[in-house]
Amino acid sequence: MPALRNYSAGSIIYFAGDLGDEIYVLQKGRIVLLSTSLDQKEDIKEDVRRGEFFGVKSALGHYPREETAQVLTDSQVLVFKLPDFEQFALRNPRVILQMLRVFSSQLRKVHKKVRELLGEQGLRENQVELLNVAETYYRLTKMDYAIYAFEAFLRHYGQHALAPRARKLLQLAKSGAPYPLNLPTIEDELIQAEKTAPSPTSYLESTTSDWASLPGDSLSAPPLDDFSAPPLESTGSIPSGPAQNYYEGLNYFSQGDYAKAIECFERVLQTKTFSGQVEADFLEKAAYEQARSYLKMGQLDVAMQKFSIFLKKYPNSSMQKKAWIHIGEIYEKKNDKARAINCYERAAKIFPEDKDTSMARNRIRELQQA
Amino acid sequence: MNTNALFQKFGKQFNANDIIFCEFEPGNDFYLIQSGRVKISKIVRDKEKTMDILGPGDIFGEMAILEEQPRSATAIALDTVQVLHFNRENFVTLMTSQPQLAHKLLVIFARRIYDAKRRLMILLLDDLQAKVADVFLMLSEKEPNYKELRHLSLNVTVDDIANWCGEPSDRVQQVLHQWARTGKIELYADRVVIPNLNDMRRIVATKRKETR
Repeated sequence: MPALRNYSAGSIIYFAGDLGDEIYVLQKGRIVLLSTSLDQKEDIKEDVRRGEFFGVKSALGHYPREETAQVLTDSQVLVFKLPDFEQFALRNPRVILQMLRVFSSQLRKVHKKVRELLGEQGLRENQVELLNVAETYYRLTKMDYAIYAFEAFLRHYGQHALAPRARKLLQLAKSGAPYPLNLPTIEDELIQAEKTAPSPTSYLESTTSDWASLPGDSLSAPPLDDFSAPPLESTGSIPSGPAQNYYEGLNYFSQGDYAKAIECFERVLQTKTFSGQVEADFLEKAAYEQARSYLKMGQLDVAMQKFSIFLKKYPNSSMQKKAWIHIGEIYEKKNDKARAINCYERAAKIFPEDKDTSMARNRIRELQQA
Repeated sequence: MNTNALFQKFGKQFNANDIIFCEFEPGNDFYLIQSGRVKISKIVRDKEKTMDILGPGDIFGEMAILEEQPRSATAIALDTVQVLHFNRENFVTLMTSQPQLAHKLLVIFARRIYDAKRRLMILLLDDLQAKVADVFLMLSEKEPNYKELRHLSLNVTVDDIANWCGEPSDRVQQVLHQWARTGKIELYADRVVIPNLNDMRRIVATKRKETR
């Protein structure tokens, strides 16, 4: 059972650096916690509120007290030994949950600081690191792990500039072939990809949903590097009319020929008669993809206009969220932070919660912090 | 909810050698081991390095609950492993129905916050020698009687030390060689021996005082 203990003004409950296994709650009086900031540059003084726990982390973690607890006026304190505290925790999960939240936000702050200090070393982006892990497992001939990591990479970043490389290596790993020795390094290939890309790789690359990817992308065993194959051929049906134009457009899009892609999508949009709902659906997709093509070409104003038309015309489209994100991206490029945040907020509100939602939230957070 | 009902709802089984998640993979589940052992490893300079081996009652992947960051390490099942897996959404349900787990997580976080802050203190030093010395002190503090400790043998590599310092390995190597020549430390293939920890305490204390 926790015990009540009285301290007189001027006394010290514990000093920074002490080891202790007691956790306290202030009942009556006034107590301050004195500490030094981590960079040793400033002294910190915090008042303990009545009913507030203190000394929790160092007691639970068995590490030295980080602050000195000084009693300013005669005070009464509830003292928990570790087993008392555990008993209390079992009976009050809500209080513990609240503490977990506080701890987690503290932890997040420290981690952020660590990352900031390490960030200058030019860490590679996470996508590339995941691919590197896959390739390292491959080189270490841990094939199962390599295959898992390649598949994880392709599942999350199927549109990344290095996805073709990952696909090729996944095939090789699955066939049991040794790691190819003549392969350029990831860095070389990234530099190459940046050179040939018509515009800087947008973070939205990874958010394109399956319907927008080439047929070859979604098959479990795509032909190696086979991007020149006519689209849809593998499904056995030869598309015509709007469908054909649409897929032709996607094909040009994937090759970076956005002007030709725009022409193809325009032909879909000009189609007057449709043989059914499926064909009519291509109209919606083409409108979206055409806007995206303009964005890729850097024609921001046209892209914005096209996305706006799309949003009005297809209020129930499943691409509404993505369209809002793209408009947000355009505002970001125009340095209009407020409007960009606004668009991301619109996007984040659209059901269901998915990776686009969390990406929109990430953008909001980053913009707010910037 | 009893453990059985929990397993029905949140249980998952992995076979020996299955990968549970991979370093740098996005994901926001965290896991509580019911049975079996799980290896936590990282790829460090083209080699797989085992960080920890966990067993029943241990928790892993919990950082994903806090931060929308990809996995910081790879988790691999060493035997047939049964886990309960949770995510942000069912976290509250779990914590309120399993308060002993909440308490355990609280202890883990307390430790993590301290370790992360301790690491941050090293990074905040602006002198390389002081950073290296402080890495040794940080490692010495993991010993139970560290305050009285004078002599220490550490099973670490130059890369490990460089990693904690946030500095390139070759620069850290220079410092270590210099200290080895003057007898402050002894370098062996698999370990570093520090004959007098007070040397390190002095180096760090001087630098901390300067910044103050």
